[in-house]
Amino acid sequence: MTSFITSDVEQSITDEALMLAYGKGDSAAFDLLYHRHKVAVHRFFLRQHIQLAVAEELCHDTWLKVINARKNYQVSALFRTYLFTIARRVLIDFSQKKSSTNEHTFNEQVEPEIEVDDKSKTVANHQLKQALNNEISKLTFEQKQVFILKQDAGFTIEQIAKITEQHKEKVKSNWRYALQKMREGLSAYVN
Amino acid sequence: MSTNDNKNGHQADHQGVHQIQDNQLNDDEAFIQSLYDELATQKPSKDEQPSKAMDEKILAAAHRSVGPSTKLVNTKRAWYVPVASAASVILVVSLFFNQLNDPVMQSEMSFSGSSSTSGNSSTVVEPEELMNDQLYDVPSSDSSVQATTEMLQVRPAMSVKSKETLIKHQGINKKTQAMKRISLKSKEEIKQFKQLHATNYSVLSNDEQLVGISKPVPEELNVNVMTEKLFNQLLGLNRYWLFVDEKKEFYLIEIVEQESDNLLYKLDKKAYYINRSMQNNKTKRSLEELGKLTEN
Repeated sequence: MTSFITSDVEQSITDEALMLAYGKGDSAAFDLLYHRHKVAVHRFFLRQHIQLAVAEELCHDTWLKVINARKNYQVSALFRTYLFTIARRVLIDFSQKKSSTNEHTFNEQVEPEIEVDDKSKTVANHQLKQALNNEISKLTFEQKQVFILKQDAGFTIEQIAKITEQHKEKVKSNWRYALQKMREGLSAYVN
Repeated sequence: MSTNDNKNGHQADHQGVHQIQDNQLNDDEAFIQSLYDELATQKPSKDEQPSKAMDEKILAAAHRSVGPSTKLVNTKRAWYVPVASAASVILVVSLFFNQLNDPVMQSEMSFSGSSSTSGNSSTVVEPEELMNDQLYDVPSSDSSVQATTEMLQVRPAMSVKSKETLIKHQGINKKTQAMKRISLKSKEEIKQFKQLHATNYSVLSNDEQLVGISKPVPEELNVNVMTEKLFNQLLGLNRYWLFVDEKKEFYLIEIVEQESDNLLYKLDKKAYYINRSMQNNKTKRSLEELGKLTEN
């Protein structure tokens, strides 16, 4: 099947249309879809404070589920909501497996090396990033999910409620508590 | 203080608390956002993005799921299945015909045919059936038995069914050998039987005896005597004759028949004469030659 996507119009095509096209056999549509969301999904797993290799593995599993479900995909919500619902389920499955085997893959993330431009500023940013990750890791599982989905992935409270299959008020409450904890932990970084 | 005043006071407090919480929430959001904005000015690290290997892995899986690979498998099967089926059919048919042409199979078929008539393969077979030429055309059964034995030894991985088939063929070869021996013995018996039969035929006292073999006949045998009337009839039919033997009182000749066996006759020496050269040169002659001699 030949792709109907050209570079001029690819930005105007919605994620949902791309997924439907992929479901009909247009592999180029998936390529575009993947490049749009691969970083967000990867970051979602990285923020869970897990090892890089594990994060990549979970990322791979998420996209494979999308690939396998291509024929059954129906537009009932935004593709991003659909994608992160899958990602969250993959993460929960992983957490349950790890808790049952008592393996400690969380909180063992290797910090990346600093790329130096302006060294002092970069060091400061690196410390801030580390501090952010540390504070995120201190959140409860539900607070962490809500915080990452809202702050990193840019979802609204309503969308997060759909992804996490929770009531909107509960999501909002988790968001509020997560912010309070984060602010307390990061108060030293206020300019 | 009235109850309405209390309610209004609670509502105001409640709204006030909500207002404070919302303000605090907004402040917290702004605070966290400022930190994220600060980080956003920095280039994203390599770890923020999935590796190229993973990109290729996922994209390859996506392409495999929908793309040419599936079609390739179908295309592969599209020619592979019919070609494989045709090859199998050709192999089976060629093996079948090869087996049909196999002398062992032919002997098996002839053997089964004879055994079906006799009802029991171990019983003595009729001599006339054993005269079947096919039995004599069978190649040395010893060698084929040896070959099958060697095959069983050389090919231990051969299937049990194949081994059973070979063993069956071995059995058939042994049976064929036995049949061959029986048939050879029977052939000699039949030869003797025919000789005896020929003698008996010649002994028969009949006007139209049929004798198949030209050979010396005892003098005392009762063979038709050639009368003048019969001679003239045969002369009219342009029959030929052959010298067979000379006895004390008669010659023995054969009248050559066109469609049936020759007839044996006695020629009285008083009426007929056959010279030595005619006796020695046993060729077919006309009855006129014989008549002229008698006239002389």
